[in-house]
Amino acid sequence: MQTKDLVLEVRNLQTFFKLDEGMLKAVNDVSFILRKNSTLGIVGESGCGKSVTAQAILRIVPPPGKVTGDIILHRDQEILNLADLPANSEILRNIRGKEIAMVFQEPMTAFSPIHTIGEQITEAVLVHENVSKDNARSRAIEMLRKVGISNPEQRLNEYPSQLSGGMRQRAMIAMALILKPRVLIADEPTTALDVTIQAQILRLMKDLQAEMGMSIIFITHNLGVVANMANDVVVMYLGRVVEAGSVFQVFQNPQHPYTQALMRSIPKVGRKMRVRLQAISGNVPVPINPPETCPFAPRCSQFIKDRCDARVPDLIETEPAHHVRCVLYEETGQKTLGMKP
Amino acid sequence: MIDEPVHTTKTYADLTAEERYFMASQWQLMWRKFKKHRLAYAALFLLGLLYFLAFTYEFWAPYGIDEQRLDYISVPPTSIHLFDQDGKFRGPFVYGLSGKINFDTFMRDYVEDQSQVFPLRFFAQGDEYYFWGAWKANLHFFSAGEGKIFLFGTDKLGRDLFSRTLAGSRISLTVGLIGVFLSFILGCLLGGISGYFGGTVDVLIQRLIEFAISIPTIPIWMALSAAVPNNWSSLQTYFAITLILSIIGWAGLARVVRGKLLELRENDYVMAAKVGGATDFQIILDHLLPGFMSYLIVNLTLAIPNMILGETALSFLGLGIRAPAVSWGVLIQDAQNVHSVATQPWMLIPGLMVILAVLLYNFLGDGMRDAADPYR
Amino acid sequence: MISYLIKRLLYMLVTIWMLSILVFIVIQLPPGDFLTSYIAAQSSQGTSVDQSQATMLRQAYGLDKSFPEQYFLWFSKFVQGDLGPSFQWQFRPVSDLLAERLPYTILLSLLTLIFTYLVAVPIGIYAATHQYSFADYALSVIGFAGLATPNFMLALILMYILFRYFGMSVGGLFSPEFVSAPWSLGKIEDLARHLLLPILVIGLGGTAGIIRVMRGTLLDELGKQYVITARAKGVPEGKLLFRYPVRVALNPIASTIGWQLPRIISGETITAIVLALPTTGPLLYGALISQDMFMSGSIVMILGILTLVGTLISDILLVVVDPRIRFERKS
Repeated sequence: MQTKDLVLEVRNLQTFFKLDEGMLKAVNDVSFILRKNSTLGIVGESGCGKSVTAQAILRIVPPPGKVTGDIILHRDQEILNLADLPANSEILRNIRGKEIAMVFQEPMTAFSPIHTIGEQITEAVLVHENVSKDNARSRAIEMLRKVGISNPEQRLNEYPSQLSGGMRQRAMIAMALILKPRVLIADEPTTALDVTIQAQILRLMKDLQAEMGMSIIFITHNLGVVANMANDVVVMYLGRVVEAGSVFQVFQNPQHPYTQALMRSIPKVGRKMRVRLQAISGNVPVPINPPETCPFAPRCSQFIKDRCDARVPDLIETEPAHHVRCVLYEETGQKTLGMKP
Repeated sequence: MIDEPVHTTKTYADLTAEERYFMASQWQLMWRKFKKHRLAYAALFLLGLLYFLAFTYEFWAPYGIDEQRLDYISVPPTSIHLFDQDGKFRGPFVYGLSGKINFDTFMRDYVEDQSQVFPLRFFAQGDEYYFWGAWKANLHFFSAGEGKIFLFGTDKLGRDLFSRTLAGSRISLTVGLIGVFLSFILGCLLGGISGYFGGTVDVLIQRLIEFAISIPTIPIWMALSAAVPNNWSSLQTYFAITLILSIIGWAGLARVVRGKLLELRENDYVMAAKVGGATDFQIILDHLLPGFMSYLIVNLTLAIPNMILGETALSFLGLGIRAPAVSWGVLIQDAQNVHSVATQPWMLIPGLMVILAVLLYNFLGDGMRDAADPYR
Repeated sequence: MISYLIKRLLYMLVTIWMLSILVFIVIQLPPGDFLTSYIAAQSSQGTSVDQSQATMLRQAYGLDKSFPEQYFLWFSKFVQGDLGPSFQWQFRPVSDLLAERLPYTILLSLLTLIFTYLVAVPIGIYAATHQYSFADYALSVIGFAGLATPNFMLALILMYILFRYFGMSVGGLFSPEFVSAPWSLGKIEDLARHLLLPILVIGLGGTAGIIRVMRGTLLDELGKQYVITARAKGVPEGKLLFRYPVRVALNPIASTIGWQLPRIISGETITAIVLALPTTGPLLYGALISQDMFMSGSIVMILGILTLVGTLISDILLVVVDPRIRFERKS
């Protein structure tokens, strides 16, 4: 792994919230790397901490959240640890929107209802660059056209409520990419859209990535989308990474029982009919005062008493660049105990 | 572990504290949240205390409310002492009081006569009174025997302000309650009809509500109160005033009821209940009403202080409760101008009671509102 | 939007008409007509009114007619500007007496309105952004105190403090030397000084309510997604605050500006009585006590109309200001 290749390096990231009910450990020791021109998929069910991870990278976690760990941004001439900076520092503000941009799940609520699309997109430019309003406007129009919005000059003067869902999401992508950031964090960008629109947006993102040469962190709970978009995958559960590797490794050879269960629960074309889809029993717990055990232990079909509930398993590298956090692989890096998947 | 049945046979006592937290009923949840709001919790107790005092004031007041003492007009509040002038501890007592006319100000100056010591007696026999106008008794909580104890001073006719303030609390605190109760009935009825039937009835009632809300209340209240004949008895006047106060008050409540009804009707869970086979009645009772009730109670609680302020204002102007009945507003009449306030500032004390009651109700309402809101 | 305006205007006119009916009924409620109390008042002063004079007066003011007829008589005259004679003031036209007082009422109400918002909105914003801080609690306590204190009590207390500790004589809108003097810079200054106390007294109660609403609405908006988007774009916190959540939170506040008027006019009525201001309040009070029917009816009507016009203006402003409503109306 060449460091020239790296854009973002996250190490031992933690985001804790001190609440009345206890300590909410939303992100609990998460590490991953992001390379140039590649897409990293972060996968997990609702409540596993993936959105908070994204917020932590940009340091916009709302209080009382506290971020610890390392968030290393690799620039051409230097590296910068974003976790060391105070949340309201000017450096971070310059990075937000310009070097690292974010796209959100629900474009209707992500846009301000009382400002026009144009006002909001040009703001993205004007906040970072000292150019004229006209300049910003023409760039906005060009960007809107690039994301496939027809009649951009007119759209610029419209309010978010006047656009369709798909157009809104395109506009949000335009707003995020207008300054050609190196990293785009997409937090469930297609979850709220129709399936056909979903496909269009995903294709758009892929095209823009190729054209602008940027890296994408794609957060989703939809495995199909991950398979489509990502080069590398990180599977999260209850604030921890349980499996990580290339998309081929994780999809063809899922090793963690959770990942395996996720794969099993996807309906596949060509499957035997009249066989029940396998759901994962139980519910995702809230990570308040989580016990120091394997996070998936209460729901795991391969649970081993006194091993899985004794301590948190380490991340083991089972094949090059494929990591798993499970006691089943602890001895030799190969699966030694338990049933066949 | 994986396929355990969902239902459990544990009883409430078997549940751990954590489980109880997650399985509490709606009212238990609200009460728990309410207790967190410490101001509101304290307000609840203080208001309870005030109402208790109001309901039993004859016992707590050392004197009757109509007794005039021409020797003791405009006396400042009496101090209670524990140690006499020699430094000896004598228990709570008051000194004798003597007054002389000051020929510069033409008012009386009162000095403590330290030769006379009157210890306070508790649960003492004192002046006779009729408890709630019906039962004769003469037990008082405290009294100074032969001495005079005017905790809040006296007014221009020598009447003990403390006793009169206590008496006034009965009217001032209950006018609000009854007024709000009437508004509640009117408001629920009209708001409910409006929200439920919709159509022209809704439009008509809505216009009516808007009308009632947009007119300035005090001028109308003043005009209505002025219309109450002078020869009506205190009781009749009392009910007339509560009626007047609720005539405008219902509109705000009706609007809330209507709005909530319309909003709740549209909720998905109502649709789900219908699809699940619930009857209209079940839907109203189990689904709409709970979402409703807490909101309603909060609004009512916050409407009471307005009524109290309204009655106080009207009585202060001489248009509301009239002598010989006593309310806090009536008592403040004696402090109507700068001169009175400057020379007998204790006459404002009933006003302080008004402020206290209104504050307490506002805190209470705030706490209830926080507790009832499921999303905070 | 034009159709909305016209509809709203019509509603207002209908409401005014309904108000007139209410006012007329209320004014007529006290037993006996004005004449009986006029005669009573005259006789207590020593002059007597003989029967023929009484009958003449009765006829002149239509008191011998039926109730609905009296109403129409009164209402038709009212809309033409003839507000009737004042019995308290030797039959001088009510409109003359009101013309002296009404401008001060309007001035005081408007100034109080502006004061209330100028004070309450910044405090609300501060309280929301510094939630649970000491200042937040302190401000809400002060706000509550203002809410809880009856107007007139606050007026009395403040009057007392100013008198006792500052030796200022307050009350009225002018110092004795300026009362009948022609308008000059000095007179305006004197007026301004005297207006401070009434504005404070009347405005304080409303301030508390607006602070609470502003704080609550802003807190809601601060947690919303578009605020996070703006932050993720790199917009500095200060600009972010005012351009987005505050702007959105201001809408419900702005929409209810007009609805402060009923409260302000109510409060002004009582405060004016205590502070002896030359506005409509004391006039109404005197009219009610002495059963000056035309005077009290006119004042209540005019106060009501003022309020209704104010709320109309406020509703129109809301439509102009909030783009969301504009588009909802179009479709």
